[in-house]
Amino acid sequence: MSLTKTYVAIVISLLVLTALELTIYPRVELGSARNAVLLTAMAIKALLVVLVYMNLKNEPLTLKISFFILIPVAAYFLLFMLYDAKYIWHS
Amino acid sequence: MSMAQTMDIRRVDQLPVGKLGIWLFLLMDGLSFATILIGAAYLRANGALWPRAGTVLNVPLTAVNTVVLFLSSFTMMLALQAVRADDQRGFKKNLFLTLALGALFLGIQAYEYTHFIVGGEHLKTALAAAGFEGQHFFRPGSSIYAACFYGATGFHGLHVFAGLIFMIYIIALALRGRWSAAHHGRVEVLTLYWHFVDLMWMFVFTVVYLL
Repeated sequence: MSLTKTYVAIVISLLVLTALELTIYPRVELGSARNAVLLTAMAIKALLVVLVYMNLKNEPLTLKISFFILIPVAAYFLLFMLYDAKYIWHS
Repeated sequence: MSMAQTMDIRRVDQLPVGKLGIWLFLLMDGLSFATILIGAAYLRANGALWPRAGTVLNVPLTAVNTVVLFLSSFTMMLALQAVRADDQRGFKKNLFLTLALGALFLGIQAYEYTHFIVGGEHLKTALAAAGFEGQHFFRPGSSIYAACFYGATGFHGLHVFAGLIFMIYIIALALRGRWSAAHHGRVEVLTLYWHFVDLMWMFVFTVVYLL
């Protein structure tokens, strides 16, 4: 596949995933499944941009590790702070 | 030897030094965005009044803005591809398109901010439905929710603004025929920065507007 076709495929995927998000977000009756779909769509979109548009898939391993190591760090802080918030909220 | 030539030659771990520099900057900057969004999540979980998605914020208008930003990332890729092929006309055309789309994004955001800051009956009704009774405006000091909204979108808007200035600089040099297939290190840096702005918007849009 030529590069232009790849870029077109990426932008179409981004638009489709955004359309999916816009369909799902008002459906509060879905509960946590709604959040899961929204966050998954967001993560897929982010990966497409990082790997293809920012070309991380072809960069040296050191750079790939430097990028992806930040995700568990951010997730750890998020979970820790949410746990803390829950503790304060219930006390 | 010009700066652009120097950037193309010096390498650290197979990466041109300019590219390595922008990647390090983006990694740090990404953490700044993460701090703002995690802070918002913390405040929300800690009991701050947080209306249902779409009650106060204009999701359809922002969805249009999201599409504008996606398209600008696409035209930026076409510009990079053109300069790599030494297609000067295609390079300038796509760069101008990216600039126009970026400016449109900021224009729509400014329109949204104006609507919130000036206020009105429609906004008052929306705020009342969201639990903010008696409020006529949605300003940064109005509530924790408003502060988080302006913090995340304002920080992102500043990045778009900085990207547009960087783009004008690249265009000015492009008009003098500075960039070619052999020397376009700073165009690659701009491309990475612009995609990063797009990337951060995906997080801001989902976390601030949809969740």
